Amino acid sequence: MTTGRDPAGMRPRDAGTRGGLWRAIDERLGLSELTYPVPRHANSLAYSLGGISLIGFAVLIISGVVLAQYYPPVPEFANDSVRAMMRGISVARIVRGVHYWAAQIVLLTVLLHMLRIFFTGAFKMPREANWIVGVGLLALTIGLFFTGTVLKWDQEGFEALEHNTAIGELLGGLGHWFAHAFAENVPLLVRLYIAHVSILPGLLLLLLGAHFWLIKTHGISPRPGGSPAGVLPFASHLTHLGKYALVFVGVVLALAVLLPPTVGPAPVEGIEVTKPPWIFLPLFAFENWIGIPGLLWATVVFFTLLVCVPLLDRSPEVHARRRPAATAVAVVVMIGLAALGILAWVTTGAQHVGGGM
Amino acid sequence: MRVLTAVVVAGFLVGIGATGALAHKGKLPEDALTLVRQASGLLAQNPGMSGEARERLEAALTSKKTAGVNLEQVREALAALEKRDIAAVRRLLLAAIAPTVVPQPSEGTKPPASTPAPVVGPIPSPAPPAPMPMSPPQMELAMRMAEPLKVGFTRSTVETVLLAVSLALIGFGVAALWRSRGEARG
Repeated sequence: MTTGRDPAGMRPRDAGTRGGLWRAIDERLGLSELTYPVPRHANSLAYSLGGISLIGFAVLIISGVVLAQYYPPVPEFANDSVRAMMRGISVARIVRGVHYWAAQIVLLTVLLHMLRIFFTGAFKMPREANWIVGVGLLALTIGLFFTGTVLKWDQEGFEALEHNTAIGELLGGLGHWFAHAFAENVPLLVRLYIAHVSILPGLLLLLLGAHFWLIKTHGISPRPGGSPAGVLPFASHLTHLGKYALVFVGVVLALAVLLPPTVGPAPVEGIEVTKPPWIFLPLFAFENWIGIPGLLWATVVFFTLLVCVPLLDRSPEVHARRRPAATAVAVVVMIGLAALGILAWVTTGAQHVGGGM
Repeated sequence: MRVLTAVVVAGFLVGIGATGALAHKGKLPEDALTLVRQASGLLAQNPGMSGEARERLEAALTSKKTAGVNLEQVREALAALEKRDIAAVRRLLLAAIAPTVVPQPSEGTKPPASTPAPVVGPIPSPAPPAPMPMSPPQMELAMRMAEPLKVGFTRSTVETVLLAVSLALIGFGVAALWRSRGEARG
């Protein structure tokens, strides 16, 4: 029996047992649809960042389901349960480390993916809608990261929640969901837990569906400066992502073992003594400058600008060097945000919630 | 011109960040209990914030609402703070508010498996807790809960095996990617 494959790379050629089995499966699941052609550069690292992020989301969902078995989302027990996970060498400790590091890496790969899209002009016609869906996915990823920070219910998580509440108050009626008054008998921690494990992942899966459908509709964007000749079956791209998955799982497992995440002390109300996780540090600088409104407005302005990118950069040119203004603005904003983050890291924080202004 | 505008915008962003050092002074709480809890929390998270802790302890000593606080121990804690003995300060502060420390479940305690029966009548008011000093184990537990829990690589067999598995996964993945590196180039 031969084991040759057709040019698309999926279907065995022979009519033997394996061929018959494959046909039987394919007739029912339509797997040969995954052999549609994609450009060769889809398998480069830069063009695989979205796929790597997807692998990360899968790791986060699986590890999150395991963690949920050990975590009661009530203020009286939350911090203690996370501490219990981290004592000794247990499944929960390793899984928490995997969840923590996968979240850090996913945030990084999502940001890098967005930068790749921007610098290769992949958001331009006809892909503007998918850029906006991508901005929504970035917001949801950050939302998941934020709610995850609160759940460990240590001083850092508690201060994050206080900021959450303060922003809710600032938003008035729009922020009612973030306020204790929304459901006085249910602790805000419980509602953020529900957001973390069901509302935000649900929205994320919806937007991911839209993201993939639009990629399938418009095809993988061309590489500026020309793509290598020839195409690959999409299944080959999936196989390639499988190799990245091995590296991803290996890296997060190694980090979980070597650098397990810490848990802060049980929270004390009315003090601001921690600094936020790295992704929020630039916002922390704005907060230090003008208080909680700075935090809100900097976020609103940043995401509005991101949504407006396809409107602001409308030239058909995709090469970063041939659209110097857009490239320069992006580089300057990146440097500015990095500088703000570093500055926030080295300067003393200020009290803005609780007893502060 | 556009590049110049971009540079100006970036300069503005960096400039406003630089003003972060202008801390907004918050209004301190009035009751001594909250002030002492906050001072203890500050020192637990960041022993370098002794200035903020001192400010709160001094305010606690002059507070008119001192219920639940042993001011003598706060005074001793303040003296220990002057000597930079943070561990002693934290022990004294926990002792100073011991009868009113928010009860924490013992570490590893599980929440009740079933919800309590629905209440059909008015809930009786619980008796106020009798003021009693913390026992040494209680104090140790309270101290532990108020400290960050830092764990690291202990070189146990399980950790070593997991590390070997992770390195094997990385090696296998990188080798597979290396073998197919030509695919993206054509």
